[in-house]
Amino acid sequence: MNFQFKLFLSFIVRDLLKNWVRTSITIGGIALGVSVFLAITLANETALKKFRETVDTISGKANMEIRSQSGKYIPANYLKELDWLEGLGVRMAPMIQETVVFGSEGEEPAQLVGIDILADPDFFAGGVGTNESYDMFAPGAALVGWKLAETHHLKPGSTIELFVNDRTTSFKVSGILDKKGLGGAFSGNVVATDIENAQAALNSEGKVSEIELIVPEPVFDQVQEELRAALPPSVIVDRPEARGSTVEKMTRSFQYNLTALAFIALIVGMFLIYNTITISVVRRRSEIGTLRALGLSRKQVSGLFLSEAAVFGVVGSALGVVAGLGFADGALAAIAGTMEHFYFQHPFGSTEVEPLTLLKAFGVGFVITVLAAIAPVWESTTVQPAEAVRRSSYESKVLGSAGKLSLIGVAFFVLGAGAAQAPPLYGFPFFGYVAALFTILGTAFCTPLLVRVIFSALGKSRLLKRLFGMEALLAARSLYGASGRTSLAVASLMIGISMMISLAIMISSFRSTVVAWVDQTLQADLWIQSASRARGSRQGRLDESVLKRVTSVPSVIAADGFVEQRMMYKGDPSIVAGGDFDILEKYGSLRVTTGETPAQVFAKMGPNSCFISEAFAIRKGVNIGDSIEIPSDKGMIPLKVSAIYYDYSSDLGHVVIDRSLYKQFFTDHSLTSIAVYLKPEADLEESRKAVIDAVKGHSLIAMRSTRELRTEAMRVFDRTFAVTYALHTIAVAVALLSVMNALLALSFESRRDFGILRYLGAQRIQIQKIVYGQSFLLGCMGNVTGLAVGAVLSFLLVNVINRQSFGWTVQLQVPWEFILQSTLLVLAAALVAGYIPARQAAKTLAPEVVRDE
Amino acid sequence: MKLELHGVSKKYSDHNVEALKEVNLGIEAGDFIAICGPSGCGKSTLLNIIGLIDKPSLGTVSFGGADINALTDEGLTRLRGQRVGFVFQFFNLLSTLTVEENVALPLEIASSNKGHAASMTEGDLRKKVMETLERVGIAKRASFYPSQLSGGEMQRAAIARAVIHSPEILVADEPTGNLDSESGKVVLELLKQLNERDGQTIIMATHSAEASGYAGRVIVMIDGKIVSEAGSGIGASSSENVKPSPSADNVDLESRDVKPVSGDV
Repeated sequence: MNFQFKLFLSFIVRDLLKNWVRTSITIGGIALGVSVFLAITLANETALKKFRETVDTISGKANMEIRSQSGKYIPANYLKELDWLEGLGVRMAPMIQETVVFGSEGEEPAQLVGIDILADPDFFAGGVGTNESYDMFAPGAALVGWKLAETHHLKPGSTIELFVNDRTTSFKVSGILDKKGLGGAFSGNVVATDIENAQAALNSEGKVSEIELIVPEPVFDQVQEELRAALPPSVIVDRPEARGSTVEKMTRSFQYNLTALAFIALIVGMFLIYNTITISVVRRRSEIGTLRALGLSRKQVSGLFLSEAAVFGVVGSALGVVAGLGFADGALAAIAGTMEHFYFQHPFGSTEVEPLTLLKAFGVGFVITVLAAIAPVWESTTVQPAEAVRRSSYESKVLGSAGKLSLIGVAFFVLGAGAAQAPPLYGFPFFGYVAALFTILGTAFCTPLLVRVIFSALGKSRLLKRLFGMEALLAARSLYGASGRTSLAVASLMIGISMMISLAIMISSFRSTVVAWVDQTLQADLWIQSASRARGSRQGRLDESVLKRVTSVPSVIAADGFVEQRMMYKGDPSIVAGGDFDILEKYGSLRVTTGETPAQVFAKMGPNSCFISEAFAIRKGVNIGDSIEIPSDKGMIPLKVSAIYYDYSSDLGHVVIDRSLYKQFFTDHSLTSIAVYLKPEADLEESRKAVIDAVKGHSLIAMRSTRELRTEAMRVFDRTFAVTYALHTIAVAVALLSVMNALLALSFESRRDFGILRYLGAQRIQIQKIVYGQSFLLGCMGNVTGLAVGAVLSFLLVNVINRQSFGWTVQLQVPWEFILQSTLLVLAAALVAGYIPARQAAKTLAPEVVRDE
Repeated sequence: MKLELHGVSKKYSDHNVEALKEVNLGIEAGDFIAICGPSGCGKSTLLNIIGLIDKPSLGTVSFGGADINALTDEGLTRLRGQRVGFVFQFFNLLSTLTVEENVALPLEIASSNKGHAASMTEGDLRKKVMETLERVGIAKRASFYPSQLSGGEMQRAAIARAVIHSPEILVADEPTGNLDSESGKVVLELLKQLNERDGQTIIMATHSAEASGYAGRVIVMIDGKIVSEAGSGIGASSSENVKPSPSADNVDLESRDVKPVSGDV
């Protein structure tokens, strides 16, 4: 057996097994970090992958598509206008699709897809995917996806009911689509029917969602160019996969921020690894010295400790990958709601595992472990042959360099402050994260000096002794004596706590801002939306006639029909919205960034004026007074920005125009929602009934009071941030593992001191008190530094990272109650972390401990 | 005070080693006993039992009438804290405490031990510490940290810490083993002074013949047994009355009044 390997087994592996508690803690820390990272990455990737798969499946062999930049549909007669393309060998097929709600048994979103069954079969990859004979031309006949059929036990002949906008439509199942081809789209939650059936169901005769084209590659560019010239600029002519990029752009901020959060646990884990390897090196300095005296080279010594780090990296990352696979579905479920509400709707189901992603997570865990080990491994090579110096030399080194380290820390602070001023990089707040990282690093580098100053003062404090006894004083002194170790534990805890505090401040600030915004904005008494939207279809609309019917209700003073439509603004996904400006001026509320009253804002409005949301202004770099152009069914609409208003409903950014203008430029006049204002004397419940009566037999609507809408808004908010809470809780858990690790090491290294104290008559309980005192002081120090850094990070999160990512102004709001609770929780957890070390320390009465030098 | 060991044996089950074999020993107040013997002869085990660190596997230990075997760990610790002082070869001062704080430790521990009534005011404590440091001659080093002291000074600080609470027995384990001869001599003189002037009972394990010369009684141990005892120290020693045990050839004893030991001493 190779000597180095033999040495690795006897010197490293045996020691790891002997100190199994510390080994387990370290591996656990790495595993947790890797698992969170993997779970979030898998969830993010799956969400996009499923969307892309559906696009691929739906478009089949089509390599080009024509769709609207700013509306649901394009006119179907483009097909006839484009028949000249056949001369170039281009084949075309129309398609109409929309998210509806399957409502026969239980309610869940499904995709209604209308296809031209007579079109070239190449448009349906793998065919439509059923071998059964079916009759697609029969009125109301539809094929249902395998998943839908499986969930609701559908078979040919079954009748299904779909909520389509504000109506219900029945279809008769004529066949079940298998997983191949169209049946695989939307994870099998699909209802396919002939395009005419679908158009009728969607009340969109003469309209299609897209025209799919199979263009011979040699003429692709030519065809694209000619089509762009022939069609209005509001129409997109692109490859189908461009949709994937659009969705990716749309969700990028959300996904990047989640990944950044997932990284925190890994960064905290780095401290844990650094701590463990440092302890390993410092504890065995004399042994290293002996090995060096026996002829072991520096390289061989460093190789040994690097292999120790590698063991942690491999085992921790492997376990992390296994655990991450377990967490992935939970993570996907946690982000699915947010994705569906804000970005795109798709049945996400369970995560799809890419081997490369597993390898990436394993690699990240391994590399981070090895990186964290570099400094202590280097330290191991500085041990001179036969050196019998123990940890005191390491501690004096740390104490001696505390000043220099602080200077490095200050440099990080300065660089961080500079980074905080920098603009986003490709729409991502890269420098904001750099500023946050530098703040953490700066504090970590200043920690040794802080520890030295504070524990030196505490160690001399008569007050500490008077209040908590001699044990507290000894605890402070021993922490001071082991400043190097103490600094690491404090830094780990500081990171965990600062993240917890800053995220809590951010969420609380966000929540209070949103609550205030909702309270101020929701001035109407009732809110109406379509039955399908209320049941989960984000595309569900109300027919325009509903507005007239609602307005006719005697107790209604005004009804504002509001429509929201996705559009592409300069290549980026955004939202155009139409609302009744007269009603908004009279009854509504608009909070604008200039602080003007709605009356002042409306007084300045011209015929083509618009409001833009803050997110639109920040992310697209548009200001008040600027002229912009947005796409519509009838070409580009030139607009002038009159005001920027606060809006937290979407980070894609809104351009709001008067609905009369909207109707001029958009052919689809359906509405997303209606805000109903009642006469002051009107009774809410009676009015509600009157509205329902007014639309009965015409439209299926869902109505909510402002209070119900507010509750719903906050439910969406809390669901969005649930995953954030989970991620920072894990980061704090890793930080606490780090504290436990440091305490174990401290108690091991204090064995001699504890032994002496036992010789001098100290009871076990007194030794335990010292260890608990150390835990408590570490917890306090972690809390103090964590709170300070947390305050800075929350400022960065709210004013830099969040603003650059989502374009939202958020008023800082400190959740004092949470901070108090978490501070106490951290102290309690630190004391719990001290349990095992305290028990170990109390047993120390071995004569050899005090005899050994 | 009388400490009596009757038929004391100590077996370490994990190593299956019998470190002490039926040892009988009586210690009277004011005794200065040196325990000599080669490494592994059981000196340390005997010191641990005398110092109330450990309990025998067999036999009885009576400390001032109290049966050690009957005491709980807490009782043993309390008795040790009140009635025993320790001096170690490697001083074992706590590096993060000043000399003054190190010396004050036994009293601080005792006063923070619940149920102990000997709480002192800060002023009284400091006064007592300074008096003790005066006694060992390092009062000027009170505010120094151990790392700022010489070896001899560290051991004197350790002695001050060992006697500050007026223990009935001072257990010294190789107190000069880590000192140069000059410093060692100073420490031994100090121990002798404590014994003669203050009547401090001292039990000292040593390899050094010079050190054992300071003791009134010298006990020689081999293989876990007391094989002989010499009657008196420096003043009384002469080459004629030394009676080494047949198995004590390798014991470094110079001129001493040694008698073989077979039963109670």
